Amino acid sequence: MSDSPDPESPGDTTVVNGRFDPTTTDLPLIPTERIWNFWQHSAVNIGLAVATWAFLQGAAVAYYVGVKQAIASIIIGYGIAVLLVALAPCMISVKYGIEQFVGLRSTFGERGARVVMVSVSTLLAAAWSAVLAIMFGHGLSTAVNQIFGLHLSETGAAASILGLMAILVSWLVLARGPISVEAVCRAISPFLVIIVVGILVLVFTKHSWSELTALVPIGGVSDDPHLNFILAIELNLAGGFAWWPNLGNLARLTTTSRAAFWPNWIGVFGASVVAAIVGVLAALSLQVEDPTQWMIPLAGAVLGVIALSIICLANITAILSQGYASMVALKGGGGAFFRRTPWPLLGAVILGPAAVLVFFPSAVYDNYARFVSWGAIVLAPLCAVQLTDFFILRRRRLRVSELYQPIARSQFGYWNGFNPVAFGAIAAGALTYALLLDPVTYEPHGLFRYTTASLPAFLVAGAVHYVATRLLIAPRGIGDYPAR
Amino acid sequence: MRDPEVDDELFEERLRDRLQLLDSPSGADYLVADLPTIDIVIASATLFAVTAGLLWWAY
Repeated sequence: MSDSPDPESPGDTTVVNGRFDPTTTDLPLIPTERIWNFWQHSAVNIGLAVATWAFLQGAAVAYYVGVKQAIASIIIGYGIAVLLVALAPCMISVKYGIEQFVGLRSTFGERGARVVMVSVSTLLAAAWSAVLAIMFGHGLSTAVNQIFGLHLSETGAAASILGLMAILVSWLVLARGPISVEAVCRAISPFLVIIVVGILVLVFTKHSWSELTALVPIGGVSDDPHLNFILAIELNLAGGFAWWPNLGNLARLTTTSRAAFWPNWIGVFGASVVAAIVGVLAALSLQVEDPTQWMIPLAGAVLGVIALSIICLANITAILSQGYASMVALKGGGGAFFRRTPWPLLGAVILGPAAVLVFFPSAVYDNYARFVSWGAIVLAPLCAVQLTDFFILRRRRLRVSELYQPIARSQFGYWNGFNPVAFGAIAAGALTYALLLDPVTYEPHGLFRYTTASLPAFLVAGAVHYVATRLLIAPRGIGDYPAR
Repeated sequence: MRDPEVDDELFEERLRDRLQLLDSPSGADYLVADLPTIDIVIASATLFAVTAGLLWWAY
């Protein structure tokens, strides 16, 4: 990954230093082409996890519960979701060296996998980019107000225009290709770690542990604290499932299955949990939900503005890493059309919707819990279908050559490149989710207070996929499923 | 700028080579071994124990 791209076509990643680089295509990688051992994967994973979205997650949890229940809900929610996403996309990608969405062809068919990729990877990247760009706008407005004594509204037009600026800067960096993305992200990560530690030290110098545990949730004391605790767990389950689009393609580059699996526990679990708990402590001690409003009250004007500036930059690097992962997925798994699409145009496809969404800051930024819930409604069932398909129905065996055959000849051709059973299972899971937790109003119903929404959605989708595949698909000899 | 058609040909050629390699009798040598089941058991059991402990602590 340290080689520079072909100078004749800087946006093209398939040729590096004059030689073909298979890691940037959807070719299956052979073991000698894997570039990350256990610790290298851990470092990348930590870099991905310690981003500003961890602060947003912590602040959202602090709305519902106090410190002890927040810590418990973050560890439980992230733990369960990370276990599942560390298995479902990662183990297929590391075993066969295949791109995450290419692996999905075995479950959804080639066209179906493309629909999943575009809807999940691209739309979620656009939505996350919008959230981070709006956070950038809030942060920079606050910093400018502090430095110049202005009174710009953190939620008004100025913040939207600054958010748009973040999108444009991100696009310019993305258009230059992956090397610049890696360099910018590597530079900012250590500063974020310092900010996380700094917030922790500042909070504990101002409050004792017993004072912190006595703090009430930002949303106030609830008359149903159990329900709030389950809502907090659900929020963290959803936050954990949100890693699904990113992890498979990282695992693909690792040398062993253990190097693909365990670093997720150090990075997207361990580092995310620490950063989110720090976010909870800051949010509760200040009783402020917006992370961009924590720095100046905590660290004073000078250090606060410096920290805020770093947070703003970190939002850009988070947009870059999210955008880059989606662009690689589109370029690799999107077929010949996206393989030929120039890098800058792909960047525009990913970031274009975000450039519109920044002009609706309240709808996006102030509805973080709903936004994460919209992701989980699809991602939890998706993870279940993939896990059931690979681990149970296929017993961890896949004929890689069939993934690359034309639809008419492939065992994974299903019906015109779509497997309706897999999509039906996703729909059943999503319906289960919506019946338990309304994704629009975020109102829980029925058994939610005992089950959460993501876990039943996961179980229902997995069960429907298993039964329907056994009854409708496998007996017809479609899908290359082994006999029982 | 390179010709996209040449890129496609190069890609198809590399893909063909790899699929032949994977389909050959020694194809298993080009795969990474499965995650041992014990790893999944350890991760699940630890998570279960930690969850139980945290539920007791947080209530």
